[in-house]
Amino acid sequence: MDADRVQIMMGNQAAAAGALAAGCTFYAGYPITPSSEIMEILAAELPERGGVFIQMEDEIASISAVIGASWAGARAMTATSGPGLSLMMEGVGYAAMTETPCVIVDVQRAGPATGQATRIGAGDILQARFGSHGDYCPIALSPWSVQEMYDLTARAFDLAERFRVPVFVLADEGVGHLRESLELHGEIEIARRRRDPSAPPFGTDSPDGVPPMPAFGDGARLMVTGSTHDEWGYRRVDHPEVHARLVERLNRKVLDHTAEIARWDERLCDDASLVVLAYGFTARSALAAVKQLRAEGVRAGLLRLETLWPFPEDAVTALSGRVDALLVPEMNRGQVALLARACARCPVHGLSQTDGEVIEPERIAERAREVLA
Amino acid sequence: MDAQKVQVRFGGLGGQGLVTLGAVLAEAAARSGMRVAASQQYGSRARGGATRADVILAREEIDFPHIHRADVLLVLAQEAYELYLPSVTEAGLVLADPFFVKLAERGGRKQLLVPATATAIEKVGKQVAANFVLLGALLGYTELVPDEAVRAAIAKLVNPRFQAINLEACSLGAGLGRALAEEVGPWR
Repeated sequence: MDADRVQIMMGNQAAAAGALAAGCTFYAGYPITPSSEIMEILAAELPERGGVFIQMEDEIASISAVIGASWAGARAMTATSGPGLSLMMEGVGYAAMTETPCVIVDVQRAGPATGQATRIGAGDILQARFGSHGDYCPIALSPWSVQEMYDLTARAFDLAERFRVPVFVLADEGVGHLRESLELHGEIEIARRRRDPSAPPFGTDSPDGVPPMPAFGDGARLMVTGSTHDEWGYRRVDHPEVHARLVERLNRKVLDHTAEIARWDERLCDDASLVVLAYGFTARSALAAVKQLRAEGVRAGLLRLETLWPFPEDAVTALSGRVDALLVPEMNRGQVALLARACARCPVHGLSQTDGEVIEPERIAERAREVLA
Repeated sequence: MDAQKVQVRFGGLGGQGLVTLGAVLAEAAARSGMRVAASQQYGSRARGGATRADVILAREEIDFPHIHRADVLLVLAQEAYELYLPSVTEAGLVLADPFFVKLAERGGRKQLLVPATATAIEKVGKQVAANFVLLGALLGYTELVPDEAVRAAIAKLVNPRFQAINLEACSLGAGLGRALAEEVGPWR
């Protein structure tokens, strides 16, 4: 084993390492189980590297500090869990409206509310997409391994900078506290903001374009507001066409690039009659279940979503046209099953478990046998 | 290690250092070329409450990284013994500290007593080192991973202030484990 590049890490440690490899220079947060290790590590590491770490009074202040730091030119992030994410939603909407790149690692636990602090859940999928009011379109990634805690946290910075949006890493307690080996990549190339003080920072000629983003201190006169604004940042709170154009672009700059953003992984799907559609830690159970079913002669496959938002509809639609059934095991009451039903061409069966425990492979295999019977 | 996959569970109470043992075993196994996955379950309390740490050691890629049935259970508390014994396979191995655990006669499992706490108190002078005596006993008895890999893992993961006593505890435990192998025969 290459002692430098290949290491054993806990998922939360890997997320912190991925952030540092991506050039994260600012972290503001409030500690919460099961995400706290990320904060603990960055509290030690960032000041050593000339970065800034601040423990804020709560999660609303945390996301607000992250947004401000991003406008000062920092690659900024926070990490939290469900209860903290709920508080951050005001800031998430503000980041979307002001087109502020930021990364939010959400290590999900069993909710609602305080729920079970140390137990696993996946109840934040729809909240990440629709948690703040109005129409906007964040990006969300779903790691299933310690390797992906590292890779996808780094990718979240790249996507945040590229599209000027908040990007969620929707992890869970399972991957956050899992220890396994991963390969480190040293420094990771991240999209650089275009900093053009002569160009409008909130508009482009293209209805799905991403405008350049100057930083405070670059010399431009800069206004940043969560109210409706024109391409130069002037408030236009009573102009229907300005509002419509802005909201349209805020959504299309992400949705029109779904093919570039969305990633998924198909395993054993070529001749499959039943495909398990899974994400996050549950996809690890699903993979074991699919192999078990194959060993029994059942033609099962796995569609594993690495990107949850924008939802990879085309992948689900295409694959569901070739199989008899989709089975969606989830540690929530069917949040992704709901999305799959809206775009699938075959019946979609759910398997929900909301007891704070991991869904065991055998439970998925058993449900698959029921569906096929 | 001959088997394709060995699933090890450490059971005890919060504060006994089980998660550290899991991390050390995983690190040591990875250093000797195995695939590993380690996880834990605990409550919100810093101390007390049944806690477990699980490690899978495998020759091949690990799909599902949690333990379903344990091949080996190491226990430092009666509550954890009762809670986790049913998860041990019928041919499994249990190593328990008699300071905390009274063995029940259940199934065909090989259940052995390792005086980890007594050794930690009498020979190391620190009761908190009992966890590493138990880990040492596992390694001495089963030879799952080589000594040097364990020493390297302790050097990497344990606070430098406690490395010396934990190394000593581990090596005393290994002696107990080797003696057990002579007394009751080898593992598997």
